[in-house]
Amino acid sequence: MKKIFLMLIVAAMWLLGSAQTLNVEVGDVTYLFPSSQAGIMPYSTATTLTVMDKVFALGDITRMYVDNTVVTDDLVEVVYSDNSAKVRIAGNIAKYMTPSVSGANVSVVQDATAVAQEITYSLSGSSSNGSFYTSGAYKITVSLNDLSLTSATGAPLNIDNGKRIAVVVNGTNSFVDSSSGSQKACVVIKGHSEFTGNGTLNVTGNLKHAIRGNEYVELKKKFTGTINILDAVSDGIHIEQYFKMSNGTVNVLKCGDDGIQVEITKDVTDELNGQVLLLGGTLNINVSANDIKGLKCDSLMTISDDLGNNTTVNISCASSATAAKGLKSGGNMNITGGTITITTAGDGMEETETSTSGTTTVIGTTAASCIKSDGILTITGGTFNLSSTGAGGKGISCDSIANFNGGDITISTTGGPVVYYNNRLYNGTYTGNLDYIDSDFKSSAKGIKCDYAVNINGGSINVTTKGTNAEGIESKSVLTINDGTVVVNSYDDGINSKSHMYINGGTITVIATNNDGLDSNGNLYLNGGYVMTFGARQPECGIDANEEDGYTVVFKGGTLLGVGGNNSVPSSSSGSTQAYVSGSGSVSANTVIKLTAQNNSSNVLATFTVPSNYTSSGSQGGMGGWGPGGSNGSKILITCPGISKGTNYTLYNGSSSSTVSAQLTGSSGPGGGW
Amino acid sequence: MRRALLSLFAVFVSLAMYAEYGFMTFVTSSGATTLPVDGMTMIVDGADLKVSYNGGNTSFTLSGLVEMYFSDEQGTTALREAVIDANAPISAYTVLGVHVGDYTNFNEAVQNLVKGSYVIRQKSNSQKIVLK
Repeated sequence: MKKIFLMLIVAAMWLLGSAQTLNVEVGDVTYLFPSSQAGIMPYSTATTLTVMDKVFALGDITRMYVDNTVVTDDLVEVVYSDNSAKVRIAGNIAKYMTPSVSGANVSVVQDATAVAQEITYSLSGSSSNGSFYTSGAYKITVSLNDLSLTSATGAPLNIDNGKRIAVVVNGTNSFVDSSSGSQKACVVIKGHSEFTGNGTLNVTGNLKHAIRGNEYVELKKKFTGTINILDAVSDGIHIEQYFKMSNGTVNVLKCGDDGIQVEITKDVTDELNGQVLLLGGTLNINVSANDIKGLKCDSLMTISDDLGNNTTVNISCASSATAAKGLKSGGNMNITGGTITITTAGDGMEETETSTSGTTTVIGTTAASCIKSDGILTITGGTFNLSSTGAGGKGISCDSIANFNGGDITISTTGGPVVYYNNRLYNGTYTGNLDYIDSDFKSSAKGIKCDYAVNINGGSINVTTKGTNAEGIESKSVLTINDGTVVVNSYDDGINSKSHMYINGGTITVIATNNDGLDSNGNLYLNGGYVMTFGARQPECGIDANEEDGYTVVFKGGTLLGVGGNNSVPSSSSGSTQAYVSGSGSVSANTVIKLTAQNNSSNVLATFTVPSNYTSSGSQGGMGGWGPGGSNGSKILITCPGISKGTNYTLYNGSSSSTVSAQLTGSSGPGGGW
Repeated sequence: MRRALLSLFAVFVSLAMYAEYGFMTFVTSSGATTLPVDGMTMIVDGADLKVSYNGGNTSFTLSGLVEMYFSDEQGTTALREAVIDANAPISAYTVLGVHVGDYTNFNEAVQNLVKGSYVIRQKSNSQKIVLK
């Protein structure tokens, strides 16, 4: 068997070497006609030769020769060498092709109406003054094989074909365009491009974008290579329709505008219009200009790890990138997996509007955000490390509803507020009272900020904010926590809602050093969960409902420890059904606070361990040990299942204890019983 | 192993089609000349086509040159008998290379073509036929 196998190989190799091919050379273009396909080649009136329906003017033919080249059907090869290029076209497609070569600038125009088979363009070699252009109306493959092109006049690679363009990246390829010309990018692909291969593509856009896809750009699962955007005057990659990444690596190292931008096409019925789909691979983006985005789309952004390709997103927005956004969706944003690391270091800036007469007016302020969703944000998985260090910088900003159903989210902000006042922009330097500044003209740093409802249904959220006036989590509407683990260490309010706040489950720990732990500007409902919330000294609260406007806290379940200069308690009309106890005194880190039945310390109704990073000094409540509540003492409130109105309990604070009486409703004020 | 062998055999068969054209036949108004293609180069030089090959050279007056085609035997004036699938689509051309029609199979072509000589092409195979 082996012997037969070897003989067949030898015979095949011999035959391979003995195939005859007629080469028709026209300048730098050679047409290759296999003898088996050439058929009859008629001459006409001493002026033309026709081979496989390709008509040659005899005067154009440099020479014809026969050799043993094996011809691959449907293939166009272009080999660049310095200032010249050679083109070889398979005979079976010769009649469809109109090539031209000028120096190392190559154009191959396909017959837009006749081509009905996929043609492959294999490009290789290098030129410091070269380019490749092709047009057509049928899908093609463009294979890049260690190709290096620098254009002195325009785009080095221009695929002017609106159909599916399969781009195969082999070896190391490099494209650099000219800094002048009319090109929209260094690499321009009119159709929908699908990348495969395991090579490297280095692109430098000296005039505008580095890569532009007029239709969708997809990095297929078979793409294991790397696309490096070395520099771009405008976007690193600019795409219309959608960007889908299933594998490979994209590095946007430097760009003057967005790292990757996806726009909606004019045809609203186009599939996945305006979307980003990150399903696998690694995306690394560095941006540095004002008001730009690392990855931006006009519509839905989806990030998942469903393909198991370790979807990884790393976006770094430099300090020069004021008001930059790491991820930005014009529509909804759904994240179900992946590892997402984003840093923004830029401050905020004025938001301006220019009238038809050309007058520019400041209409507000805008600040940086690691993640910004104009539509509904839904996170059900993934690991997030979000850091924003500039003034007004946010971890997550959502103009709609935000749903946190899973994932492991860590957010850190350090900036102060951005303020535009009296025709001057203050980035963390404003010392006046922010309450007097119109909300449009100030933007405080926040871990999570949402214009509508925030729903936390699972996962882990850990927020730290250190800058002046920086809140942890804020909803401009209703905020609901149903499950999950939430840890907030904030300068300003830990968790704030403009409307009602519902806590139905989850484990929540909040330390707010300069304001309320939980601050509801409507009612604050506790129906479940386990909550430890520490606010600052009076007038700030561990829990704060908007009592000034007639709202209240309502206890119907759950276990809560509230510590602060004060705590809201259920009003008589609140409908609260779960009693609470309150007291006051100093609370220290690592102290165990528990509530037991009176005279039966083994009957523990609730126990809390004060977080190790909690401090009762400085502006926080709890000065001077146990004693009456007031400006120098923390108010303590505990509610939990199993306590009854009018019953006395023992409240332990470390080694100290006191008797407290449960009540169902009350009024905020000094606690008793200590 | 069997699959690999079959694949290789298929490659062998397909490659065999490339191995049978050792000559080029030039048809002029005064007759046909068949020359070996080994080392063959053709250059249009004014009114002539100058042909050189291993073992000689010659030239043809372009005004008298009708056609040329690969052939498998010196002196043979017919195209090689290619394997045509009677049930597969074919395209038909005049001997001057003018496309005259596409047909779903060989029988349809025979029924629709008028009497005369044609070259029929099917994928990479070409065959000259005469309809009487």
